[in-house]
This record gives sequence, C-alpha cells and structure tokens, in this order.
Amino acid sequence: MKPLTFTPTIEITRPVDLTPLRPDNLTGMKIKEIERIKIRNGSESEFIGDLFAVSGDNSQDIVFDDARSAFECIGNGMKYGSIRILGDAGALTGCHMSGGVITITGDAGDFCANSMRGGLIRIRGSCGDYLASGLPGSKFSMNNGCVIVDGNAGERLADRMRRGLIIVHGNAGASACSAMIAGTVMLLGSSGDNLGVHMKRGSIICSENSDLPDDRFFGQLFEGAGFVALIQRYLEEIGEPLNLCEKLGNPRNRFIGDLSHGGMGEVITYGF
Amino acid sequence: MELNGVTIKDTFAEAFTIKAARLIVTARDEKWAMHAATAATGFATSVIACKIEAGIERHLTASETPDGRPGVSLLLFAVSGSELENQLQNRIGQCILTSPTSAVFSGIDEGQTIAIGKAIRYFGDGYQISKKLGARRYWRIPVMDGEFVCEDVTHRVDAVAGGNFLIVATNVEAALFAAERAVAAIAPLPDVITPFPGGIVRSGSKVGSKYKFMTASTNDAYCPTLRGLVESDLPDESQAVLEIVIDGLTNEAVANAMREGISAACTHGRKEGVIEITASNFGGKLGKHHFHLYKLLP
Repeated sequence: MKPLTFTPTIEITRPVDLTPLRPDNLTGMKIKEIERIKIRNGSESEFIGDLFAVSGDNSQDIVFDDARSAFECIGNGMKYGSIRILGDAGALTGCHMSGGVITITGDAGDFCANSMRGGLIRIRGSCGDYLASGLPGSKFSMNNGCVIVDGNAGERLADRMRRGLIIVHGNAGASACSAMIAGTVMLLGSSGDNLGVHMKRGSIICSENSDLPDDRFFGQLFEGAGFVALIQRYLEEIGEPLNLCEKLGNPRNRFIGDLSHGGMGEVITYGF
Repeated sequence: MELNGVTIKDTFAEAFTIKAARLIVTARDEKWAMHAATAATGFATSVIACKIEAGIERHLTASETPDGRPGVSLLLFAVSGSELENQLQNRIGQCILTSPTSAVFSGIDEGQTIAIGKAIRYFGDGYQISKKLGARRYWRIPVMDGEFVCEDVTHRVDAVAGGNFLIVATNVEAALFAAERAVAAIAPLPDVITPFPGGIVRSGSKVGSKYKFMTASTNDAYCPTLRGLVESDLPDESQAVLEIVIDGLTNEAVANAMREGISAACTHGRKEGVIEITASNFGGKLGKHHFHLYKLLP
C-alpha cells in the first residue's frame, strides 16, 4: 500500500484548514470521496480536489508533499495513524491530537500541539510561539504525549502545560513553561527571560546558563534524578535517543518554584 | 527408569495455579539492589503461613533495567490477586522504599493491574511528583537520600506454584550436595524461583494432621526416623530426603526447571549416594498442573 499523498496543484497562499485530512477521518474513503471534502481556504470553502492532487491508498499513512506554512490545523484532533509533512506546517498543527505520530520535516507555525492529549509530534525544524500551550481561555494546555523540536521554539512554550514531555534541542523563547501545571520540558539550548514564571508543578531540565527569575526560585546543589534516566529510556523506545550528558553536561542545581505559586515546580540545571 | 543409576519413580509432581507478579528493583550498585531484594523476598517461602512465595529470579545489568542502574528481578506468588497486591504494597513500602538509593519498576506489562506506586505515593505527604512517559506513570517520592522512584502499577498473571521433586539419598551430605547442584542448575533459568532457604526444603508436608488446627503436617512417609512407625515410602538404605520446590510464570518454565534440576541432581548418580528421585503429589486433588517425571526426562 502506498501512503495517501496530498500534493498542492496550485499556489496556496491563504491559510487552509486541513483538519479533516487525518487518518481516523479518512479510513475507508476512496480518493474521489476525499477530493470532495470541503475545507476552508481563507474565507472561502473549497474542495480538496481543487487544491491538491490526491494519490495513494493507505489512509493510515498520510503525506503532505511540498507543504507550506499556509497548511494549518494538520492533524487537528488526530487519534491514530501517521502524518508526514514534507516541508513547513502552519499554525495549530497537532491541536487536540490524542494519538498517532506527526512528523514535520521543516518548521511548524504557532500554537502547534495546543491542548494535545497524546501521541508524538516530531518537528525537524523550528516552531513558532505557544508550542504545546493552551488556546486563550482554556484552563490548561497539553495534557499528554510528546513533542520533540530539533530547532528552536518561540515564546510561551508549554504555557499552562498539564502533562507530557517536550524536548527542544535548540533555543527557547521568553516565558517558556509559564504557569506550567505539570509535565516535563527539556530545553537543551538557551532559554529566554522568565523561564518557569508562575509555574505550579512540573519539571524543567535545562542548561545552568538559563535565565531563572531568582526571587521566585530556591536553588540547591543536586546530584541527579532517577527519573531523567527513565525519560532517556522512553526516548530510545520512540526512536529519539538523547545523550543528555553530551548535550548539557552533569546535574548541577535544582531550583524549586515558582515560590509565589506553591513552589512545587522544579528546574534542574545541568552544566559542564 | 534410571538416570546415572538413580531410580526415577513413576509418579508426578502436583502444582496449582497461583497469581504472580515480577518486580525490578534497582539501586546505586548491585550490593544495595540485593539488600532491597533480599529484604523484600524475606519470609516468603510458602503461602501456607507467609501468604506469599517470593524469590530472586536473576540479577540484571544496568543496560537491562529501566533507569540504567544495576538491578534484581523478583518473582512473587500469592493465592489471590488481593493478597498479592497487599503483600506487594507492604513489601515495597517496608523493604524497598526503606533501602538506600532504591527504585522499583514493573517487570510484567500485561495482565490485571496491581497498584504499587499508586498506593506507596502517599508516603510523600503531598510532595510526591507524578511523571507519565508514554503509557507508564512513575511516582517520585521524596525521601532522606533524595527520591524514591516507583512505577504506578505492575501487573499480575496466572502462574504455577508447587512444582517439585524429592532427592532420596543415603545420607544428609549426599542429599544436600545433590540438591545444591539442582538449585544451581535452576537459578539461571528464566521465569522461575525456588522460594525456600537456599532453594531447598527439608520439611516436606502432607495435607492434614492428627491435630485439627493444623492444615499441613510432616510428610511422615519420607521421614527416615519414622521408618517402622508409619508406612514408609523410603528405600531401606535411605537416610535423608530433600525437596526442591519450584514456582514459575508458566507450566513450561516449571517443567524445564524440574528437568534441569533433576538432571543436575543425578549428575554423579548413585555412586555419590543419590538413590532415588520422586515427587510430591496429593492424588490430583490439589492442582491441575501435573508434572510426570517420566515425561519430563528423556
């Protein structure tokens, strides 16, 4: 079986909402039926067949060929299966996703993995602001699953994060993990101002050069945490092995905070 | 049938279905993993009075454990799921949690769940931290040397307890020497334990007693000092009998362990003083797993 592939046939510049094109939604559908699915293209409604050439027959393995940042909401609500985005993905990729795997070979837009509840998102490039955060007004954001970013992440990464694992190999923007409720975030590059501000619980693992708001955290020397090895084993299991010592060095300090919000969160810093 | 001059009796070992769980105990080094494992499997020779049978299955290298530290694999068996859960929680709470640098993980990923960290976490008094990675949840409980990491749940499976064979010898030294060799042969095998001290039992029992309050009593037919008083099953020249009891996760694992153990016990044959290999059964009334010695051996 060949992957179900969507290749743009026209220049798509306005945002298109690709929510319906996910494995659990396309199961059992024929190509002609898929081509008749209506999607939003800017303010208009168009058929998939007007924008994409559809080929292949495996709806559990979807490929977006020549993808651009105008392709929004890919994998929104996805429950299982695989989506491969060859190129960039627009905003809201993997929103409300509860299972399956999304792989983006390029960059991802803002609000990627918002309110994610399970599954795995691999971003081989960088991503915009509000990765794995909650949409405005929601009580919490990412509630399970794993997001791995090979490049950089924008501002407010993991804002109000409730559960799950995020790994950013590059740099993170300002206010990462703000108001974090639980879960684990590993920042392997540098991080912007106000890291962990207003966090209640949860774990941040980062470089000792990270900028923590000193008055909100209490720090002490730290030998190491056993659960980090469990994370490394989990990453091996999903095919994303991580040599933390090579990236960040050895454990240095553990800061608890935000002390103005209960102080049950932790920032574990590593250094060479 | 004979094996190296040792008579193999035409009988069978009778075993019964039981509930089992496997725990992986890790620590900073093998010594402390063993301290925790030894304590957790203490007083666990027989379900009759201990309510659980437990033992060390094998040592694990750092690359074989979830947290990359040296560890030990434990098998624990109880007659009911609730008793197994109760024993696991008590033994983890009192023997593994208390042991410096220890951590404990589930060693079986299918079957009905048993709460371990889910129950032990309350020791953290609200400072415990949950970590969910994929389908697994772990608890980090603050303790005086750092943190105790415990998996949320483990699983129980139906297993087999009471596989056995008896080594009948001319004297205690011969019986013990053969039994030790049998236990050594069984030790590296997967999915089985020999729960008694050193893997060997000298007080084989029969069902019932002349005393109403006793459910089991000494196996008088195999006691050499009672020869002449009771109907003895011992050959005339026999002065000692030792039993190897085997619990395993599967029927095949127990059968394999019995086969290896009997072969090892008979290695030096009759010239070492081993006279006979037999097995303990209760006429088929105790359990559905029957291991016929003739079928086990080539």
